[in-house]
Amino acid sequence: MHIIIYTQIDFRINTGFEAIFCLFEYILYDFKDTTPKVWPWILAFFNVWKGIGYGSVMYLAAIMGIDTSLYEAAAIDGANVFQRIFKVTIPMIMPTTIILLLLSVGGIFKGNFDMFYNLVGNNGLLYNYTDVIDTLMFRALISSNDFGMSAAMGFYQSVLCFITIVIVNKLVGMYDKDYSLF
Amino acid sequence: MPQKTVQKQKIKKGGDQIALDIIAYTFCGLVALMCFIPFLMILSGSFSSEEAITANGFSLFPQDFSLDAYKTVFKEPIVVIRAYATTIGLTFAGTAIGLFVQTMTAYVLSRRDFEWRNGFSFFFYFTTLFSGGLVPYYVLITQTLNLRNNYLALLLPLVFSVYNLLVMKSYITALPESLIDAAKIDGCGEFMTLIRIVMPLIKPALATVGLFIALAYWNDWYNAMLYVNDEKMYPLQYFLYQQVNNIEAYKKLLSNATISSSVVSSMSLPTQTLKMALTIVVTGPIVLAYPIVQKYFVQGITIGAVKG
Repeated sequence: MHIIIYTQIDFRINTGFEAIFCLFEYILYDFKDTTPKVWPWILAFFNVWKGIGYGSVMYLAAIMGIDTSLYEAAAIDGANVFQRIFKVTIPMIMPTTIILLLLSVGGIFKGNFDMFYNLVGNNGLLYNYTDVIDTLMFRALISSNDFGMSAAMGFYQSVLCFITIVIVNKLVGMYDKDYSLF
Repeated sequence: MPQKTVQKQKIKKGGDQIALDIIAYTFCGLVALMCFIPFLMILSGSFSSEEAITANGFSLFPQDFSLDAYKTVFKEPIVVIRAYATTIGLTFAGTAIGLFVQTMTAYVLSRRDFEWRNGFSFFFYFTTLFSGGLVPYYVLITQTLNLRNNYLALLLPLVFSVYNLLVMKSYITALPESLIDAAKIDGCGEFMTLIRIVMPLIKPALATVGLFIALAYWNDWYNAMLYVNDEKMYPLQYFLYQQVNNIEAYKKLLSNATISSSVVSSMSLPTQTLKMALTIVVTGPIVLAYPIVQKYFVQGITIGAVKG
């Protein structure tokens, strides 16, 4: 499924044709290659776009599990729709949200190698702004053939990931023991 | 006794409900459009001719309608149909087994009277952070388990996924504990509690996780690349990957050749449109997965289950 989005964006960025539907991109169009600073935002936007499908299905399942009598009780007590959203729905899906948050924190150091590597391609100007540990490791391996350094980078990434997750898990555990992962 | 007809009363929508409707429809409409337009572009690109794509780029409607790309994909229909059969079989079998195994694990890990659940959760979660790498994995599957060129090598790696386990676990934890206590009092064993009481109540989570496992099996080409040499066993995504590589290699060969007549034919070889057509062929069936699963997203299953 990645292929759909990558092929689309790859072609448009590389050959310089107009974006049809994203006004934001159209405005920034000239800046895309000349202002590398924009790229972290572009990559974040595409990552969010890619994850919309999976995320909405999971949250839909979580919201479907909420007892409807809670909504009726809130309505009887005089809550309008927005208050019902913020006081009934959001607290009830907190466990699912926190699990997804912890999983995403685990992914911070990993980055999304496929997408970043394919979107940036061989454009040397952008390396300073778009390289994450995974892509750097891959490029270093290809250009210098030094397996030791790449393996060390991979290990370093895993250790950082682990420390971050343990810290965030402890923080969540301090808030409510049930929400923490381990 | 005379039958009284029930009068249908129309409840007027309040102002806040109308505001929410406007915001919700606008936002959902935009997001749906954002997700749909790339797919529409791929669809129209697959029906265009190669020259039009190279000259004008992609557009919402097919330019210069031609079926060249599809003809190239289906040149040997037997191969495509075999790949379809392999993938569909793997998806069904894998989803059934995977869903069952993951539900059992999530149920055990969510019971608060299981003393070692924190230890086990840590053990499961740790594997998502640190993995041994590709080489030990390969050695495990080919030499220790001897599964080269075996359908099990395509089935087993995706049966269990820790992400799905965590989603399922958080869902089962949200069920009221008194239901399970009541079952225990009535003399229900653990397995019967899982099947008769817990499973019907977590239908949305089962649907979600089932959908994710099915997608993982449908999209998987990596395991085929590593462990399968026999052409009869290629799943669909790997078949797509092979086709794209073949065309690229062929084009490179032609561009290196010194015969001038071959330059003409390489221009009309569908590469971009072939990628689009292959994408459509490959994602066609799985797009129907969500409508099938949608009826399991039922709201408020636990209404009235716990009184007081």
